[in-house]
Amino acid sequence: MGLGGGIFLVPLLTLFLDLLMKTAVDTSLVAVVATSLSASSTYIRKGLTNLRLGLLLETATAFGAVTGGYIAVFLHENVLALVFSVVAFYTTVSMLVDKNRSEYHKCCETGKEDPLNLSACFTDEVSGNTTTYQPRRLLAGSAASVVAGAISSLLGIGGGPVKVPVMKMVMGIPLKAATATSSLMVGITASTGALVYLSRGYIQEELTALTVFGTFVGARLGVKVACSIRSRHLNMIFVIVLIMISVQMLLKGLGLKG
Amino acid sequence: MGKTRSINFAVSRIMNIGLYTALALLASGMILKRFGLSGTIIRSDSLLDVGLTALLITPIATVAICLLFFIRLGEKINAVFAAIVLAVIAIGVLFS
Repeated sequence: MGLGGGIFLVPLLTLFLDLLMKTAVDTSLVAVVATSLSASSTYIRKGLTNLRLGLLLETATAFGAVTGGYIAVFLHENVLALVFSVVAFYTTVSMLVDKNRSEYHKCCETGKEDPLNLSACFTDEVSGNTTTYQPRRLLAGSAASVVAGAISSLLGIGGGPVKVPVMKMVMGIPLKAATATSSLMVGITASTGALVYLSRGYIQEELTALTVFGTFVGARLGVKVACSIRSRHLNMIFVIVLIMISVQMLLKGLGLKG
Repeated sequence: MGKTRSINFAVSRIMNIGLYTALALLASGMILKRFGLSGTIIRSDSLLDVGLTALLITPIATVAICLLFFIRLGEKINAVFAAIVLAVIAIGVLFS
């Protein structure tokens, strides 16, 4: 889904393993890097990832990630949980209100001036269709990427829940390409934040290593499923899981759970 | 498209090398720790440290590879973006 797994991992570690939110965030960021590397290497080989677009947006995201890393140290656990819940809810709503989700390839524009060589094409393994697209509204995408970077470091989720909807709805990028490009970006963003935590000695090595092994296996399976599933179904799974997580974290943020 | 394919191939390979090296180091560290062998050959904590560092550095290495490719292909603007990403990461980590 291009989320990096953090949006599932943080609630799992805090709600079921009773870890502190900050410990969960540190652990999750490292796991997000493993997930991203595992998934991205496959997506890139299949030509789904738009490397140039990813790096362009990553310029903005990296600024946000570094800022978020500094802010996170000073925020209370419950505030982080509440912010997490709001982000998850926003992502859910934005995916639900997107009326063009089944016709995404029709809104892709090509043939315009492209000095950054950002146009790309890929072949959908399920439908067999080759989709060519050219990203639009680069400034709006970059601005959203700053927010995604900050959220990533604050919440340990890799920023995917912001990046995928923005790329899809604002920039007109097909969902599968957005997912693959986001997957690459969340790895770079998360590694920036995680290196800040690692240099400060906040990361629990044993717990993190075990989490990395688990997410690695999950990511390998996820890539196989993502390449063979229809975009509409991928969207629905995304929405259902996010609603559940949003409610859980809201309860935690309000002190009603855990 | 040929240019894109060659970058894709290089980046994908770097990612796999970094990921599997990191996983091997982390697994070795965990095994030494679990079986109480830490310190006999090498400290398990050191292996875990190196493994985590290798894992976290790999995405940054991919950006560096992209930067080299963009320079070679004469894509100046994309090279500048890749350089900015590396600079921001360096600033963030060094001044933390």
